[in-house]
Amino acid sequence: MLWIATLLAELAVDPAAGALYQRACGACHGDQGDGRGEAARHLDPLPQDFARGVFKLRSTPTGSLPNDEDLRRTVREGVPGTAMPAFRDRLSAGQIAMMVQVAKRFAPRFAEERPEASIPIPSEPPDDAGSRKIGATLYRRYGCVECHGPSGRGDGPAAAGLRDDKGIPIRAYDFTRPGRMKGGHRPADVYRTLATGMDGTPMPSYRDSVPAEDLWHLVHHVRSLVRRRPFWDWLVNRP
Amino acid sequence: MRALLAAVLAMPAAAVPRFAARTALPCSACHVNPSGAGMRSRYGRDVFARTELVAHASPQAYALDPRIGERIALGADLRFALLHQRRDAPAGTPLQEPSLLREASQDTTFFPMQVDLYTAAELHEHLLFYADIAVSGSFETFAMLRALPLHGFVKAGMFVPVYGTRLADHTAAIRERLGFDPRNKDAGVEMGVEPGPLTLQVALHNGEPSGSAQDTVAGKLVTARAELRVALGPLRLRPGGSALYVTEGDDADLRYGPFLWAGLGRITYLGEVGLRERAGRTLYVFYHELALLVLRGHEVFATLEFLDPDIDVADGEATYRTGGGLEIFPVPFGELSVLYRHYFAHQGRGEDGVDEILGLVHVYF
Repeated sequence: MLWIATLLAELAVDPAAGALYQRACGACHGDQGDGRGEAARHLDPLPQDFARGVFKLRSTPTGSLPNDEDLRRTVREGVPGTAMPAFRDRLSAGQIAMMVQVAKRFAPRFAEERPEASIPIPSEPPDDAGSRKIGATLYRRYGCVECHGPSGRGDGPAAAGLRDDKGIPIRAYDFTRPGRMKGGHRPADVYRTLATGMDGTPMPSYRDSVPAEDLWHLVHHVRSLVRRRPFWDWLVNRP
Repeated sequence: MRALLAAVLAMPAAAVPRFAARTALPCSACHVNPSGAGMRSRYGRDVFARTELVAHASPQAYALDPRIGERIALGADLRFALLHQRRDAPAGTPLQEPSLLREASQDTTFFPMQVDLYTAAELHEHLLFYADIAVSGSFETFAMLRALPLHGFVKAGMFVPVYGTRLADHTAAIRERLGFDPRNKDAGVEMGVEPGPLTLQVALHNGEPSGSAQDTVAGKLVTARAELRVALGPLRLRPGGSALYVTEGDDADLRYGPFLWAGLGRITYLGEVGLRERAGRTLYVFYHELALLVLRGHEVFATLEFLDPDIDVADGEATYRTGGGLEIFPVPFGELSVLYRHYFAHQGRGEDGVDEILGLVHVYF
């Protein structure tokens, strides 16, 4: 595949970084970063198409590119509930940074624009019964229930018709399942996801429509929906 | 005795269907051969073997690049074993043929169970050449065209006919006694499609597997295999079935049976039933395996097998084999395992009182 070497040369990618990208990422994301690696057809959801320049997991406002740390975090932590593994123990910090640079080269947007500043995450108020109760009210008021359902199982009235921006059917997240939030399950991770939205999916950004205090109430509510069944959770979640 | 042991246990390319059951991926996701076994695909080698399978991750996981240029990839499997066997009763009908211990009561030996070297060359975007050369002298080679609709393929060459669950353990009765152990390669063509969650394969072979001393069929051999992959919440199910038909003179040889693979998080189940109708006799075998992924890269498993050479003989011989063991993948491309197995006769008639302990070092890429 001479064209791959040519492509990497055109993109001015360090040959070592390019070769590592092919080994660590190419099978799924494709050697051109178009999400069409040889394993892609077996995977659900499909691997990220870097070339499109649309990224779900960011700390930046909706519509913006992610910054380098956002991309490094995704490589480091993986994407729970998908085939994307966590590379934190498999690639060094330097190698992860190299992979991010290679992935960015595939998206012309990174050459044309700069990521906006990260959305600030204010200090978390106490996660208590009062906050969760307010969050439950807001969950209905802001329409979360339409997709995620009244009990958070991802079975709201609109859930069946959800599609991403490529027209592929997708599922609303089931908050009752622990540890599978794509953007991370810690309070700050959930806040960030609510604030930024997930570009390319029907999950909108609530940064401009919901006050920060209410976002925290929502975070506390949706995190309280998790049904903890220790043995079952251990059994059904592969290590 | 040692020579017989080594010959019987020489085990060419093998697969681990348990991984497929757990991940709900088809065999073609992790193996170059869509029927499974042998050389790993790019995903199997670069993703699954370096991440999900391994107990202890390391930044060295991606140091190896077993490719020559962009279009040729190399691979290998080495399984080196220590086997101890003991018999404390007269020999009955063996679960595998020939039986390991027809004459001796006890034996312990080291032996290279499998040494296979693979190469795959991508001649064109849709055309692949594959060769698997085993030190035992067995070989598998085919050219594969991957340009049919529905992710279809056609391959032509010398390979194991597609059938059932392609277990790593070639001594399993559902493989060896049905004629599908990894040594039973035969010249032929195979076609398959993968429309969504369905995999359909059909193959036509000469019917004279060169690696088998057991096979006596002379007519053309047809095999077919179908599987469906379905998910019910966290439960992944893969029901399927296989069949083989070949004529030999006036006799027909029919082998068939269903299988079911299931995965629920850390638990996997593999089950297959097989029947072989030939010359007025019906052989019956089954295989059940239950495995638990205790920690990443640490798996315990138990098996139960059964062989009845002729189900129409009411008081004939039949044999069970139970087993259990531990598999550990401590580093990328390395595996250690230990297995204990015990044979006992059904209603006192059959192979009985045989114990086996197998320790295994497996390196692969």
